[in-house]
Amino acid sequence: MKRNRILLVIGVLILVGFLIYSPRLGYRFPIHLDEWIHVDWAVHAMDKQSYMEKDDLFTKQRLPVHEVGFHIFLSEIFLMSSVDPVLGYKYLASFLNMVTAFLLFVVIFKITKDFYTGIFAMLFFASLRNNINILGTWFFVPFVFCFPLIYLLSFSIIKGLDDKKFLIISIFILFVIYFIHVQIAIFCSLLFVVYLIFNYKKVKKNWIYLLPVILVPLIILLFYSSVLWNGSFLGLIKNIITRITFEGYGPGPQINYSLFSFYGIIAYVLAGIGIIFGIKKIKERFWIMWIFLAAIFIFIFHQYRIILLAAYRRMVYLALIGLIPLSAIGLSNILTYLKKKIKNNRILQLTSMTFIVVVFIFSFWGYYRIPSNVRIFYLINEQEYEAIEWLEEKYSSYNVVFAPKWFSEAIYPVSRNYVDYNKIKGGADKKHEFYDGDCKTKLDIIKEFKVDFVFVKERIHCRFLELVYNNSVFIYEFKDRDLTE
Amino acid sequence: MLGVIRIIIAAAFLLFIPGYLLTLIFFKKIDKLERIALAIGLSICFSVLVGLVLGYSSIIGINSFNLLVSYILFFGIMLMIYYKRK
Repeated sequence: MKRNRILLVIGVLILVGFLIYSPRLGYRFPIHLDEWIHVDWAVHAMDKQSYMEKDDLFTKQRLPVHEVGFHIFLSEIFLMSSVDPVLGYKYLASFLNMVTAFLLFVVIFKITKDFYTGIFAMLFFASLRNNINILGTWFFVPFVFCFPLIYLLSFSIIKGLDDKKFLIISIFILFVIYFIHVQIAIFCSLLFVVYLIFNYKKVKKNWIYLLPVILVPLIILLFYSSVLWNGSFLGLIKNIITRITFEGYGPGPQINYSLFSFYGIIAYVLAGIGIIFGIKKIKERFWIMWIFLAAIFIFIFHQYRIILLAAYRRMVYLALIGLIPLSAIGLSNILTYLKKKIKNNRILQLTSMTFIVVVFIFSFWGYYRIPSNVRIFYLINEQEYEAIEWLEEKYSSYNVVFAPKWFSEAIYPVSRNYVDYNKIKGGADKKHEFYDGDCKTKLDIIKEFKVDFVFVKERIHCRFLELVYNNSVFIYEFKDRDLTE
Repeated sequence: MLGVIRIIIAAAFLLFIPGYLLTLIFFKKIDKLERIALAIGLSICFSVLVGLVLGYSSIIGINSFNLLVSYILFFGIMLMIYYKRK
C-alpha cells in the first residue's frame, strides 16, 4: 500500500477514535450504569482470581453469566497492563472501535478490491449514532465488543467459499462470540448457515463444516447448562426461550426507534444502491443476507410485538452494522458511474469530491443530537470518587457499604468494598427504606446487612452513626454495634 | 515510562502476537493486510479462551503471572510448530 494511502487510513482511524471518545472528554470514569457493572465483574474476577463463583457477601451468584467472555477479556486487559480498571475504562471504547474500523476497512477493501470503499465503510461506521438505551459504539459493552469479531467472521465466511481454512477460522470465531454475546452469536450462526446453503455449489465438498456450526451452540449450551438447568428438560427449554425472547421494546425506556435514528438517510439510500449492485456478486451478497435476516426479525416484531434473539433496538443496530458495507459499496458504485459519464478529469474530481463531502456531511448531521430521555448520564462525580477512594485508603477493603442508588455501583470497582445488597431480592426497597426511614429503621437495616459505612448526600443525625468524612459527600461509620433501640 | 511499555506489551499479547502466530501456522502465503486483520481478530479470540481456561480452573486461577506464563507457553508451542513445518 502506498504511503499516502496508509496515512489516509491512519487519519480516518484517528477521526473514528476521537468521535467515539468525544462524549468522555472531561470525564475520567466509565459512563452509564452498564459500563460500571462490567467493571464490577472484571474487578471481582481480578480480586478473586477466578470466575468460578461470584461470592458476593449476600448472594452466591453462580457463573457463568452469558457475557463471561467480555468480562474475562476486560480483566485480562487490566491484569496485563496494570492500568486502573476504573480510570482506564474510558479509553477502551475508542480503542476497540478503532480496531473495528480497521478490520472493517480490511474486510471491505479485500472483498471489493477497492481501497476507497474500505475508507467509506470506516466513515459510515463512525457516523453511527448512540444513546444510553441502545448502547452503541460510544460504550464499551459486550454487544459492541462483538463488532470486530462479526466483521472478521463475515470476512472468513466469505473467503471460506474458496478456502476451507477460512471456514475453520469462522467456526473458531463463532465459538468465541458465544462466550461474549450469545444472542449475537446465534444470529451469526443463522447467517453462516443461510449463506453456506445459498452457496451450496461452492461448499459442496466442504459441507462437513456446516456440522460444527450446528454443534457449537450445543457445546455452548452444555457450558451454560449449570445456570439454565432448573430441574427438568422442559424447564431448560423454557428457560432458553425466555432468555432469547423479548417482548415490547426490551428493558429500559420504551422507544420506537425510527430506522433513521442511528444512521443517515443518505447512507440508507446508498445502502439501497449497494444492494442493487451487490446482489450480482456472491461475496457482497453476504451483507444483503445479513440485512434480510435482521429485517425478518424486525418485521416479526412489528407484527407481533415480540422479537427473538435480541431486544428490538439491538436488532436494529445489528442491521445497521450489516448496512455499513452496503452503503460504502453504493457510494463507490455511484462514483464509478460518474467516472464513466464525466470525461473531463478536473470536473470529475470536483464532482466526486463534492458528492463525497455532501454524503458525509449529511451522514454526520446531528451526530450529538440525543433525545433527552436517553442522554448519557455520568454516575459519579470527582467528589464522590474521592470519597470512595478515601474510604479504601483509610479503612481498606471488604467493608459493607450503604450508598445511594446509582452511586453504589461505583463502590466495589473503586474501593473493593461491598454493596451487594443491590443484587439481593428486595435490596433496592431496603435502600429506600433506609434513606427515608427514621433512626430505628436505619439501625435495623444496618444490623440486618451488617453495614459498616453509610454514604449520604445530606447529613444524618443518629447517635450510632459517626461522621468520618465530610466533603460534599458524607460518610458515616456504624460505631455502636451493641446498641439496641 | 514503564507503565507505557507495559501497556504496549499487553496490547501486543492480547491483540496481536497469538493471532499472528496462528496465521503463520495456518497460512503460508496470505496478503499482509489480511494477515494483520486475522492476527488481531484471532488474538482477541485466543485471549478470551485463555482467560476462560484460567478463570475456570480452580487450581491455576487468573492473575498477571499465570496469564504471562500461559501466553509465553503458547507462543513457544506455536513457534515450535511453525519451525517444524517449515
